[in-house]
Amino acid sequence: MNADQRVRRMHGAPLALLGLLLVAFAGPSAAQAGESAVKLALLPVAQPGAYFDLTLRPGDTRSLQVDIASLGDAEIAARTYATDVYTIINGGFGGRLRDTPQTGVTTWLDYPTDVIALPAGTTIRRAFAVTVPKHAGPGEYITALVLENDRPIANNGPVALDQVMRQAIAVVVTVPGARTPSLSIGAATHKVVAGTSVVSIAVENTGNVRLKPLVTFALFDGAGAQVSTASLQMDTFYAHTNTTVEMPLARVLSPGDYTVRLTLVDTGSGARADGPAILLVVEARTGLAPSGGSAANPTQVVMDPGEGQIPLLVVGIALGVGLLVGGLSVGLLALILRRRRQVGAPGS
Amino acid sequence: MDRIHIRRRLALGLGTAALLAGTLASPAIAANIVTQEITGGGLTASVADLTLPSAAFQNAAHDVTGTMVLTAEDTRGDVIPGGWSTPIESSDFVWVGSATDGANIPAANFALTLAAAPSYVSGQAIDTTAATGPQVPPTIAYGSLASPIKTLRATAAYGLGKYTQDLSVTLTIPAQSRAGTYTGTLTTTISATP
Repeated sequence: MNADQRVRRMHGAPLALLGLLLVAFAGPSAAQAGESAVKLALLPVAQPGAYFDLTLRPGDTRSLQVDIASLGDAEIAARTYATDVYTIINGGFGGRLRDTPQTGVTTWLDYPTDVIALPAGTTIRRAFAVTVPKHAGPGEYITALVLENDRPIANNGPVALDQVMRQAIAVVVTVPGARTPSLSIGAATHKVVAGTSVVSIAVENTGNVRLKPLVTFALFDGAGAQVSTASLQMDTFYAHTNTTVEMPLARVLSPGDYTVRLTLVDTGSGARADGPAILLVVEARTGLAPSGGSAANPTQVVMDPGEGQIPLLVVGIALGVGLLVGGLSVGLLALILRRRRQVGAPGS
Repeated sequence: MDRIHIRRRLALGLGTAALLAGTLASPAIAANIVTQEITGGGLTASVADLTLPSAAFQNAAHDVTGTMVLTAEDTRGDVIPGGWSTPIESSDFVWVGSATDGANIPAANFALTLAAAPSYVSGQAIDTTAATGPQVPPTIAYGSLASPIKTLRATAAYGLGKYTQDLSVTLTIPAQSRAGTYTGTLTTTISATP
């Protein structure tokens, strides 16, 4: 071994050790960052819009395709499935969660639930079919395809939420024929949310087309005096679904009997429903203690006492490791400089 | 080996690297045409800050509050933006502890109390005058997250960008809830639907 080789070995070994240390400590944080970045894409293929909008006759079958992609920086297990669609409170899209039984229009799809290992940056194209039953009547039908992370992203803490991030695209099937827009109104109920009363009224789209009705609401007390009035433009109210419209009030209603007057009007289709005198019973509140009440007497923490020490322990370990790595780095650099001086010195 | 020798080697290495870089760059310069493909992405939505403060054991029901941050992004560059919405919903909070009589906290106890106006990060600007969004839907129904609540929406041809939104939440912890951890699952959906 000549002098040149010795110098390279002397310099190379400590540097390699330093590199290994840096990689070892940088590794976990990089992995965690990648894990939290769930970026999936679910896109319809050869469709003019952002979702499937089809016109099919009873008995027809249409073959379709959807692109499933991972846009993140790490492989991910992605779950895809077809799910029932419903109308959420005050209108809008709601899609049932995974493992919910498939019913109605969703059973028209040939789209088996699957969990796919998607490497970063890859796209797969999945074929499926829609078959309209021979007995299907005219009108609009809706279901949806969903893509989501199969394993919820975990969060730690005494009170925490894991997370499923999903995206959904609609599959709308229109069966040609008579369009019969129709609405109906049901019962009213009362609840308290964030310190104010909320009146909920059941509504149903009994027709065969989606609507966006304007809701007009008035509330009267037992003596017939008007307590509140409001209007609300509902978001999409899907055909053959029911939901509720909710009206928040400015204060908490006193217990007693009230009357709700509600109208739904969809100007586009002309559909209308009237609820001229819907009974609303407000019960006396029970259960929750008043906030800040003296009954709230802390006697012990929710989390176990041992768990409360974990953050301090982690900070201590991190500090110790940081000091150790820093000390090692300084020592290695000093060693390198010392060796270089020795090698560069005359007569070495 | 002397220092001059090391410096010569370093200079030779740098020269070779510069030559390689120049060789690789030359075809684009010579052709005078640069082709850059831009591929479309998708829709993503996620929520950060999903840990609520710990609470003391109490003999009466009480609330813990927190603020979560929703991030929604539309990178579907290959279709006309079709609009989107972001319903979120929660499961029950599952209890884990050493007591023998602990219980889960129902999802009905976890409520959205306020969805702030979205903040622009990048892409298409927020249109507040024409109410095309992204915006808090005027139909938003604050309350329990046991049912989905749509916190943000963009109408057709809007929302091609990245936006964040603060969500204020409250968890009502039932009286005498046992010590331990309570973990729920938040499902964040971003949907392209009529």
